[in-house]
Amino acid sequence: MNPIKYKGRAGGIFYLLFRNLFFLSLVLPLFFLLLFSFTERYAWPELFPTSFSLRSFKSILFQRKALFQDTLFSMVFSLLVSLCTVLVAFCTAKYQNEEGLKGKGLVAFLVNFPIMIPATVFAMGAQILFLKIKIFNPFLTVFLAHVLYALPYAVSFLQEGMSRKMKLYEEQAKVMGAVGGRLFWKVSLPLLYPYIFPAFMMSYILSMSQYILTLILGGGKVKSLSLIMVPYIQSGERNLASAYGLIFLSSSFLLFFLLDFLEKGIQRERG
Amino acid sequence: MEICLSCENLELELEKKKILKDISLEVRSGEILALLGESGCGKSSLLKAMLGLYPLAKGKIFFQGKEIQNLPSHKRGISVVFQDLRLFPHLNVGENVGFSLELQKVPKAERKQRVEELLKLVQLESYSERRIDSLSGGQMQRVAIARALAMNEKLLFLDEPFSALDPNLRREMGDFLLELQRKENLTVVLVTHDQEEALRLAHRIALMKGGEILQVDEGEKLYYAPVSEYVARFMGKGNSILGRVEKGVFSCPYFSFPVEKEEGNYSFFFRERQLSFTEEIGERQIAERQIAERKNTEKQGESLHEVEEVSVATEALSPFKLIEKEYLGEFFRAFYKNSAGQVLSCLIERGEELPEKGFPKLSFKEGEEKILFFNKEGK
Repeated sequence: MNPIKYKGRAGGIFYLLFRNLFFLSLVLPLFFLLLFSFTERYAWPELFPTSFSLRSFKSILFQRKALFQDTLFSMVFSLLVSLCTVLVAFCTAKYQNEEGLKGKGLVAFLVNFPIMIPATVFAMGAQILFLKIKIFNPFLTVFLAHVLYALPYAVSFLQEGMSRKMKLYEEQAKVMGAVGGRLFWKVSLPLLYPYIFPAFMMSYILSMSQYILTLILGGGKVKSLSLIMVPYIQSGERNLASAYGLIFLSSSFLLFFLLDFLEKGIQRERG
Repeated sequence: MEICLSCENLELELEKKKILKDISLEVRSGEILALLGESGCGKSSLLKAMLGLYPLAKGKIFFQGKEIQNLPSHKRGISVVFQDLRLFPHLNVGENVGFSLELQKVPKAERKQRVEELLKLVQLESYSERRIDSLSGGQMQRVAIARALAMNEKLLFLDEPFSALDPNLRREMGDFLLELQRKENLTVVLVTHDQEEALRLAHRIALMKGGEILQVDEGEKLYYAPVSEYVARFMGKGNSILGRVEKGVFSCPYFSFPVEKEEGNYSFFFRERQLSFTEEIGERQIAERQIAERKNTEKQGESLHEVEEVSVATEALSPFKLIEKEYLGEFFRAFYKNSAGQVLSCLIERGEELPEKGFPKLSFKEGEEKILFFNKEGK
């Protein structure tokens, strides 16, 4: 396209450029991740990889059974963290949106506190706190720390959802006879679903990608996917690290499609 | 006439501010009662308090003779359409209308039939599967009304239901409401800040100001027999002229007539259509002018103050000149002003003669319209 000839469309050209670059910034890393996970040898100064194999995937799925189990555990653990985070965030957001209640500023500050300080400081502080209150179980401490860390994000999503006419719709539904569980199931939850979905996904991804918190609080006993991946990244086993990266991404995509399927199923059932 | 809903001495406080002050009101079965007032006067708050959405500080509410102020909203026998409609965006038209039926565990087939009947009533047959965001403003209004009717309650509250619509659609929806109310014999409480809408649709109007009810009456009485100048001015445009009552006669520079009021200064308020202008000078003005001229002759050479008084009196008796015209479709609103600065407005039907200069003349339909007086407190 000649910019001079399409002078009036300069804005359009700029938009196209920006859009394509953005698209490439998402697709290219994925492409290289895929490429490196199958690459056996890619040495300097070669332009392209010289040999390919399925060794990394075979290694994860078949040869190192424990690694496969740890990956599965990591996914289930993060799912549970996300579920707990969303439940707590729902209660917090509900409190923040109610009129006439005191202490909202303090609650907002406390909820956002974990992300206002460096992760290592939070991890050390959490470790000391759990020791003082005699919570020694590494799984529980890591679980609680992940929930606290993901909470600010989940609360902000749900608070946004609740502030948008939610109270008005609930008021209308109450007048029509929907109270308690029926109000939640028929009105609040469907209206909040567009906000619960990203809150859940965000909590899951944050939990899955937590390294410092899991390492310090877990003491090596809680083996998340991040803890497994980092040594391979540091050691230079690029194909294995890329394979784990793909598994990490795949688990997120899988969860996304599962939630989408669940939502459509609920709508079908309702209809 | 049977009383459907009544409130006694309702008081409501929100955030330490008194919103409703000692409200007592009756709603008769089968009528449309309008709660009318400027924004912030407490109309919607009264509605919500009667619904149970706001906790009352004091007072009682009776529905068909039973006390209901301690009952939850959905057990009070009242359905409501709020100003913002609040149609659930995640449900389609049919699901919205059938929402309360589903809560009442009505069987699916029966529910579907009832929804179709209601949609037919509001002239939206075959809209059952449509999404809410695909509807126009008027269609959404009708779906909201159908949803309220599905609750099968005797009393319907409408909180400024037509405020978001354009004038033509407002009129159309108003006609629709009247037809529906007649057909279904509904009792309706309509909140509005539009006095024309209230006059057109309501059997009775309760005019509110500052959390209090000023007057509850038929529209015509509110218009021609308001209890205060505020009510008079709120219900429509008019003119006011200062005058005095002495020995049972009200006098102002342009008119005088007998009246049963105590002696004192009053502001005489009358509607625009009760006023016209004529080139013929009135008897009152002739008499006043003669008095003024006589006084002028007698007081020649005396104090300046007394001469000024006579000049002012003469100015008040000067003819009015046409200064402005407003086009209102079938009518004109004409503004006249005299050299004393008195401005009066009247309504002239299109095609009638509009004099450039003239003297004011009052005309009242016998036995129908009232002459209004207010003392300096506006009551």
